[in-house]
Amino acid sequence: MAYYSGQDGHLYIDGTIAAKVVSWSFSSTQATLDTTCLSDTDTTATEGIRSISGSCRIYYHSDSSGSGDANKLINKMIKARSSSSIPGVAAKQNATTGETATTLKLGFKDYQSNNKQIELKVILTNVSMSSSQGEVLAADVSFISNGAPTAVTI
Amino acid sequence: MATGAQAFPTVLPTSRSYTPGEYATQEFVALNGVKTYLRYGNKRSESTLSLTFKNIKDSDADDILTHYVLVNENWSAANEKTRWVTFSSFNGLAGLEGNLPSYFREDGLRWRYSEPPKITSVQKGISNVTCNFVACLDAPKLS
Repeated sequence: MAYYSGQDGHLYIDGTIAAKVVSWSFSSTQATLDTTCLSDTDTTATEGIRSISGSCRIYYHSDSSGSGDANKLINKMIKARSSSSIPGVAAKQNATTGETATTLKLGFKDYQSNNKQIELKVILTNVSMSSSQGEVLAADVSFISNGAPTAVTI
Repeated sequence: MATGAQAFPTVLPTSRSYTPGEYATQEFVALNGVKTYLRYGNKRSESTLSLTFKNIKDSDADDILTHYVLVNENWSAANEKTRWVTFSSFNGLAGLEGNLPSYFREDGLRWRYSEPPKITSVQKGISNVTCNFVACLDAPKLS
């Protein structure tokens, strides 16, 4: 029996474990549809649509190739214009893959060293960075799941 | 072949709106403003009823459509216009108490669909349905 903390956590981006991950979080929501009828005395409901959204925070660092996991996500969402003379057109997040641009696995390693995680095809909805004195540069990334998770082992 | 009263399917409405009918009356207004009313009958007609069913199963929506078809089909046959709709506490009159249900069963009035049911799909297997009815006095049978 074991408890888990941040040192057990991990985040995979497109199949590769990300370095310098500060935190990740996700939230799954189940909408309900009201089915209360005229003769009822209490509210009844049926299942509506489910949704999953989440966020992660990654320190911005560079390896020997000059790239890191923070800028991997940043570059998926922030694109330079396709043509210098056309200001309103740039590549989409999913320009190179069929379903979505990004696959994330959010999880942790359990007592038996098995990965407990949720695998999501996601669309990035927000990327923010700020540089300030006394703080390590980091990227905050928000996302929503495109459809149900592709794997759940939590 | 089914004739006569056709009970509405056992689906409970989410909301109900009812307007009692009026007596057949003609109004005459004289030049000096005096009004004269001529009443041509002793029964109200043209009551209206609207039922809304929210987030019901598609199978229940199908039951309503099937009922609509049953009530309105074969108007060219011998039993033309001999089908009408009845309600009970198990469907359109659910939740009514006291003497109120009797207004929906007024003597001589027969409910019929005033327009086809409107079905709006909410998500897979779930729909919203709206049905509008009008209650009319049927003409006496000619023998």
